[in-house]
This record gives sequence, C-alpha cells and structure tokens, in this order.
Amino acid sequence: MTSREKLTDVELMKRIQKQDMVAFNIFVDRYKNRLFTVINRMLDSKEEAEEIVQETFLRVHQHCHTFDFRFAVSTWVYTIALNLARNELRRKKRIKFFDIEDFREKLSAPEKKQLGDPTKVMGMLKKALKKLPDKYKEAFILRDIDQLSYEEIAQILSVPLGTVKSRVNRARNLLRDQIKPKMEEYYELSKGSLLHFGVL
Amino acid sequence: MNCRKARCYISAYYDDELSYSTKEELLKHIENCTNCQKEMLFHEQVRAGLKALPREELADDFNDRLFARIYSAPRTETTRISNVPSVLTYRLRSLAPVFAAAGFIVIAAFLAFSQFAIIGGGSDNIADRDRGTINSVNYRPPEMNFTRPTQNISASEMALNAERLDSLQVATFLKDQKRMIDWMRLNAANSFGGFQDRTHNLDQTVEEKYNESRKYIFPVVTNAGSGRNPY
Repeated sequence: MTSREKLTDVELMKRIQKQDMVAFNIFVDRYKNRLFTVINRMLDSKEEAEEIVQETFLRVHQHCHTFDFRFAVSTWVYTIALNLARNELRRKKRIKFFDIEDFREKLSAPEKKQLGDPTKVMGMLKKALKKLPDKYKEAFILRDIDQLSYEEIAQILSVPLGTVKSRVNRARNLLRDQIKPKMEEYYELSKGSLLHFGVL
Repeated sequence: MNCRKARCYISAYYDDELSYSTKEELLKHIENCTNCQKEMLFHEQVRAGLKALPREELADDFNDRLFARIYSAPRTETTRISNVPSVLTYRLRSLAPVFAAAGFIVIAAFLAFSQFAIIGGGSDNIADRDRGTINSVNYRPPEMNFTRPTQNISASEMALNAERLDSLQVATFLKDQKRMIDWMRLNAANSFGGFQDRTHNLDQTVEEKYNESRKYIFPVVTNAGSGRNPY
C-alpha cells in the first residue's frame, strides 16, 4: 500500500478538489464495489447498478468543490448514489407494467419446491429482498449488507435515527415473514442441520 | 419476559443495542422457550445468509471507462466551476503579478497627478483662472454676535425670543456648515480642476441668506410689553 492509499477520505477529498486525479482514482477504488453491491441489491440489475455507480463518481468529481467537510465523505457519496438509485427505481416503476421475473417464477414454481441446494437459499433471500418496499429495503441493505452504523444510515437517508431503526426492524420482519415458510420447509428437509447452507 | 416481547428484542439483540439486564432476560427466556429459539435461529440464518451473499465486484476496466467519461464530458457550468483549470486560466494566473504591478503604477500615477494639480500644475483650466474668487470663500469658526434689544418686551415675547435665539444659533451653525461644505467643495474642485464657475458669488450669497434668515428669526421688537425687564 502506497502512502497515498493510506490517506483518509477527507485528505483524499481535499486532493480531489485540487484536481488530483490519482487521489480520485484511489477514492473510486475505495468505494466502487461497496456502492455497486448496495445499488445492485436495490435495483437487481448489474448494468443499471454499474451505470449509477459511474454517474455517482462523475458527480463526485464535478461537485467536489461543494463538499461540506463537516460531514463524512462516505455519507455524501452514499447519498448521491442512493438518490440516483431512487430516481432509477421511480423511472422503472413508471414504465413497468408487468415483471417478467414473476412469470418465470410462476412457470418454474414446481421445480423450485425441490429444496436442498444451498444456492437456492441465497436465491430465496434475494427474491425476498426484491419484494421489500423501497424505503425499508434501502435501510436494510445499508445496515445488514453494507454493515453501516445506524447513525451513518440516518445521515445518508436524511431521516431520524429512530426511523432508521424501525425501518430496519420492519424490513427484517417482512423478510422473515416472506421466507420463513420456505426456510422451515428446508429445515425439515435437512433434518435440522443448517450446515448445508454453508452459513452456520 | 413473554414471547411477544422477546421477539421484539431479538432484532435489537443482534444489533447489540440491548442493555445488559434486558439481554440477560432475553437469553434466559430463549433458553426455556422452543418457539423463540427457532425464531432466534431463523434470524441468525438470515443474517448469515446475507453476509454470505457474494460481494459483487465491478469490471476491471470500470475506472478506465469512468475516466474516459469524465474527460469527454461536456464542460457544463458545473464542470467548469469544479476547478478543471483551462489553459487560459493557467496563463491568467501566471500573469497575475504583472496585472498587480500595472494596477499599482496606475494608482500611483493618479495620486501624483492629483498632488500636481493642487500644487499648481495645469494652470489653463477654469478653476485656476478663477482662483482669486474661489479662495475668497473662507472657513471661519461660528460667531455668536448679536445685540440685546433695548426695548422692554413681555414675558411671552421673551420666551419667543429665547426660541428665536435657539433658532439663530442653529442658523449660524448651519451657515457655518454651509461655508465648510463650500470650502471643501472648492478644495476638491481645485484638486481636480474646472466645474466650479457657480462659486463666484458664493460668499455673497451666503451672507445674503444669513442676513435674510436673521431678519426672519430675530425681527426688531416694536411692541413694548408690561415694562418689566425680561432679563
């Protein structure tokens, strides 16, 4: 790790403001995959997620001079990315009349009853996540997938701390309600052993 | 603790947001409750499952594409503001000391010219031609000379006159102010040259105005009152 890569976010941002493209490259490397994971989970589309991550960094570069150093850099970047993702979600909702994935799911439903493959559990989680309402989903993803603190999430989403906690809790309960029957079924099939999941 | 309460606390337990006593209470309940054990196990599965979800990674050429996009982006208002320095900006920045020196020379020349005009240079302008007249306007400190009326006046007139006396003082002060302003105006005019033809009769006009106002403010007392001396 070079000395530049050890720089803090604030130091990097100061250099980016002075048009230091090496610093900007380090900054991109630091955040790109984290942002991509979060946005991909929200939009469920790698192409769109990549586009949004790119747009996020483009905006960071264009508006770096407006950054307020009283706040965390990560919060600012996440806020830009999430706003873009929300816009995309709204746009998608406007033009979406039906979801082809739902049809696929219905067509292949009997096949999916055959549980036993750990990857199917991941699939269950992904699908359940997709069905969560947006405001719960973003709080849940930031907390349970990206492992951000509640305080950071509250700043990113611009909502009170209590609201974030309740949203995360609500999302967890919704997720549980959605996948519990399937998990219990799998639990019975695997005779109580959760080792097949590769998660316990 | 009942099952309903315990289930509410499970989420907070995994966030490590429970107090020590509540945590103890919860764990104690879960030890003895099969349903809550299942619930807790389920939460653990979900959490572990989420952590185990493959972390998505962007393609290696992401940075290259991003940088290509940044460099090819049209220079909108925001891009321009965002400190992307143009060649012109660099050149102007390098010329900054030259501009500063030029500015200093211009200011110094202006000041020197002003001094020269005051001292006596450029004698062909109107201000210098009329200097005699102009300089005749003098600035004097306020004077308060008026004669006490010899006639007897009534108490009410005395009061009125007292007010008039105040007014006269004000008028004198105003006259003095007027003179001072004119004096300053003429000085300025002398410095820059020209435009003060109208000041030829300034002194005279001021005197006239003063006498006029004095007449109005302090008229001759003709009406003898009760015969008492008001003073």
